Amino acid sequence: MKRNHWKKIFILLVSLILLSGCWDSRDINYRSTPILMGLTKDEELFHVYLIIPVSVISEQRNLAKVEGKGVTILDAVEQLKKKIETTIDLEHIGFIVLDEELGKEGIEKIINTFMRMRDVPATPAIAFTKEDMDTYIDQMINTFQKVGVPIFGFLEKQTGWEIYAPEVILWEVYRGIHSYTSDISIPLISSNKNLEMDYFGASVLKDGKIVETLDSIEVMLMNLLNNEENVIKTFVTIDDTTNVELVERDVEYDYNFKGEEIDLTIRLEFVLIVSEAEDHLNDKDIQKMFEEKMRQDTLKLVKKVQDKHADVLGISNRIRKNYTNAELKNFLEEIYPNINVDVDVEAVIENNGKLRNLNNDDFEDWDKEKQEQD
Amino acid sequence: MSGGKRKGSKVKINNLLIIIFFLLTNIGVMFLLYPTLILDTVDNGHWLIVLIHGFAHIALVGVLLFGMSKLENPNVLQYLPEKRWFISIVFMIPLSLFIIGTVIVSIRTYAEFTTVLFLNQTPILYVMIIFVTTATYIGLGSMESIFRTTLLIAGASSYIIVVIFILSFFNAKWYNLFPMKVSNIDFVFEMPFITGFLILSPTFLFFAFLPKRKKLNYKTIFWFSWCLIPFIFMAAYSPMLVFGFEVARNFTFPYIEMLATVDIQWSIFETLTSLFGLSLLIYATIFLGMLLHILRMLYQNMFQVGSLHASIALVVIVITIAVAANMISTWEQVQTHIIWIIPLRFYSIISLLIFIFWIGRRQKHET
Repeated sequence: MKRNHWKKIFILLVSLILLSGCWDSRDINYRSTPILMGLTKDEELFHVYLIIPVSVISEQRNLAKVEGKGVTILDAVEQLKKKIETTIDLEHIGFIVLDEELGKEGIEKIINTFMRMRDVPATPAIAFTKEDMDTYIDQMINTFQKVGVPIFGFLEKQTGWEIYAPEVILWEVYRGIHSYTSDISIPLISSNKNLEMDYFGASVLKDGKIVETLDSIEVMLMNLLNNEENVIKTFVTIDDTTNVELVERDVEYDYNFKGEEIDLTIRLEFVLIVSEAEDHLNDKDIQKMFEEKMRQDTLKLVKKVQDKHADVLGISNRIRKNYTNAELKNFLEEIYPNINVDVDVEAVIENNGKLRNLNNDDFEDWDKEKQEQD
Repeated sequence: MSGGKRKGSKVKINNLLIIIFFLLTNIGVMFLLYPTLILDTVDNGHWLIVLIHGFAHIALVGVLLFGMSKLENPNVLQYLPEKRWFISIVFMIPLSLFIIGTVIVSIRTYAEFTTVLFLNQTPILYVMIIFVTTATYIGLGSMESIFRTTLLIAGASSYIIVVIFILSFFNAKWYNLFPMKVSNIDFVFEMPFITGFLILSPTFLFFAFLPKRKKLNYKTIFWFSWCLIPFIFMAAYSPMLVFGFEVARNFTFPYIEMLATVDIQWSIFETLTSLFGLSLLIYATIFLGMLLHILRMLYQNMFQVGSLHASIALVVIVITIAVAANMISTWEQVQTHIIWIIPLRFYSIISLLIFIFWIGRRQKHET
């Protein structure tokens, strides 16, 4: 071999030493990766809880709760790190649970901190909890160890998400707080002895503060209006005896500018399957009842959020194109509450499930033509 | 480095290699600082900025390639006159300073980016040392070897990059494209616009220093340079489509933050940002290697010294560069140092073009 090659091999071997690790690296068995962070405040101190999966002896996965207190969030995390024997890696946090009280004071600063921190990812789901954080976390670990259900599965699209819950991720909350034209709503939960958790609807945030609470039906309407994913399969209860299944929907926001005034017609189109109904109703009755109910509920929801100057329905997003960014700055305060909203619902009943509806006069049209001919 | 004997097995420089190198280095340079610059320039109507920047870049590439295609030898340094002190002062020294300044700012930026993305605990100096050592090693090789390396790396990473480009529209909302109104064009005289204007020009420099031409067709290369406009659009608009202008403005690296929002559990691309960041770093290393290679050629021709002497000088220069980059301690300073390079940038581009023009005139008179 030529001398030249030996030189290269030497360089390679030297670089092998350099490539062996990063700065201050710790082995993976000395690292803990929390999956959930709970954040609350008592007596002016931030109180951080982490849930860390541990599998020490048995094969079964166990969860451990650790907590720390501090003046700021990071201080609390540091206090927590001091107590624990392994390195804490926040990179795999999947869920952040905040105390509802924090939401009433405003969570803008907290969310900014999470976005700024280099080791917290941008993708954990966010929720508010109503009860004491300590009991909540304990309760959750208990349920997990007893039943083994995935923690927070109901917020994850792949696991158990339903249309009644808003789907909120950290970066979306950040966007919702700082955006000129949209706001965000965050699910409100608490633990429960029997099931995994209780769900109370969603809190609407305006500049990081809770201004309004929506119940689960309203959240469903919100998702129907603003969530662009077209796969929906949900049941709507019209009254005590009637229930329909939504198969498809189409939403259109129709703006009409008259000088200063803005008229908006929200056109909703649904395809339904009747799943529960009184025997004497025919398709037309059910359709009319459904349309009327949807119209009323949507109008009520729009009024509710418009009064609070918070836009969770995407009404202002869709007219961004008519303004400049300077004009959009105060859009939610000045223009958005004055938009006249009207709702127009159209429904088509696809079928009646496995049963026929004998009240329908299927040959009505044909009969009419015959009579006219006579 | 040790050519001659194994010539037959090597890939010669051709259109494909040059186009791949051009696109790769531009991707490597574009996605970090450029989106922020474009977002800072105006409040509304960023598409206009993107188009102006894009067309300016393409015009520059076009003029450069047109000039080079008229010369017999694709390396302008072959045409240096016997007495070269004048041309050294007017053309070569400013160009070298420009390259050195660009390298200093780039390694500082990429080191910052690396610490933000993967190595939060590593001191920036060590990241920069690893980075600049690799670039120097590439720069000490020949231009052919740089192109061949690029081909290999492009083969390994292009699939990931394409997937990432598609996924960067995963969370996009069409209404965030607006507002699109252009309220005025005063921005042309303001600092962010001037800073961003022709900021990609260091990646074009190599067109004037190519070793051989046999298989080159400058027209094809020029048409491929139009890919720059969609790339710039993507760099500026995909963070805006996801966050909206008012939110995207807050991030240091908007494009990287945008990628961090993509959360797909079923794919191996779950850690998109890391993959993309790694690709960017490799591309940037190649880009810096090329700049250092050009710097070495300039040095060799300026002082008319041997190849070994020039290599040693390059190592010394690189150490100076690393020390200088280490002296930039804050992110704010990086921004001001970019502004320092602007006059050098415009001067060296113009002097390079004039130099090519002058060579062409002389060539015409001789025949």
